[in-house]
Amino acid sequence: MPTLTLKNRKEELERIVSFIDWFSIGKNFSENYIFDLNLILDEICTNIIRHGEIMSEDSEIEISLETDENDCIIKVKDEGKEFNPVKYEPYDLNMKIEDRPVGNLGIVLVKAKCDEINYDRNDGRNILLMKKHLES
Amino acid sequence: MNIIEKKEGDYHVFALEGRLDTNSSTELEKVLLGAIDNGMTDIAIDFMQLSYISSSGLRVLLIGAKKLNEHKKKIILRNMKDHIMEVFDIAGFTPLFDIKDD
Repeated sequence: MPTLTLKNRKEELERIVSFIDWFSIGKNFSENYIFDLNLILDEICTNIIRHGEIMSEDSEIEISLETDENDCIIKVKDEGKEFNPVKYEPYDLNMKIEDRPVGNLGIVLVKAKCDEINYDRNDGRNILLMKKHLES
Repeated sequence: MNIIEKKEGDYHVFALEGRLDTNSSTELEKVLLGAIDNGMTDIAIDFMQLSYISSSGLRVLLIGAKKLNEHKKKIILRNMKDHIMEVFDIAGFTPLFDIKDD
């Protein structure tokens, strides 16, 4: 299974782009589909690096991608503090501009772009399994 | 990401090229918010050459929009690609900006 391991620092996020490009070779993904995969992994990993409270920059975030008949299956494992995005409730997105808080939109975007999200906490790690239907 | 700044009449235009992500959004934050803090309130951002935006980019745009809202103005966003427009729709950002196609 194609796997990418990132260290726990912002500069590492750039490596997601080439990993997805490489994974997508020969798969007939549209430009929009590749955009969505980038957005999902970028947002999840940015969140881990920003809010995971991981002290060591050498702590690893493990990403893997695979496809089955119907879906692209995206797995992310990290050693950050417990965070279950499935349970994350966003604020009201229709709020007036004056009242709207700034930030915290990453998980909103991930939820909109995935068809299925499963979360598990095991052995001190967050394990996220997301599915996105392949384009017909 | 590249940011190209130009004047068009009263408007201060920022043309973005490339990816507006966690690492490049700090650069936009500096120039966009710097311009607003220096009194520029007629601002347009051109998305023609923008290929990617994440929540970090949205965050900076919202800070800018909030600042301009204090002057009862909206940031104009031009030439937005469909997949980027979709991100704006999901985030509930569409009404907060003046979205135009050239």
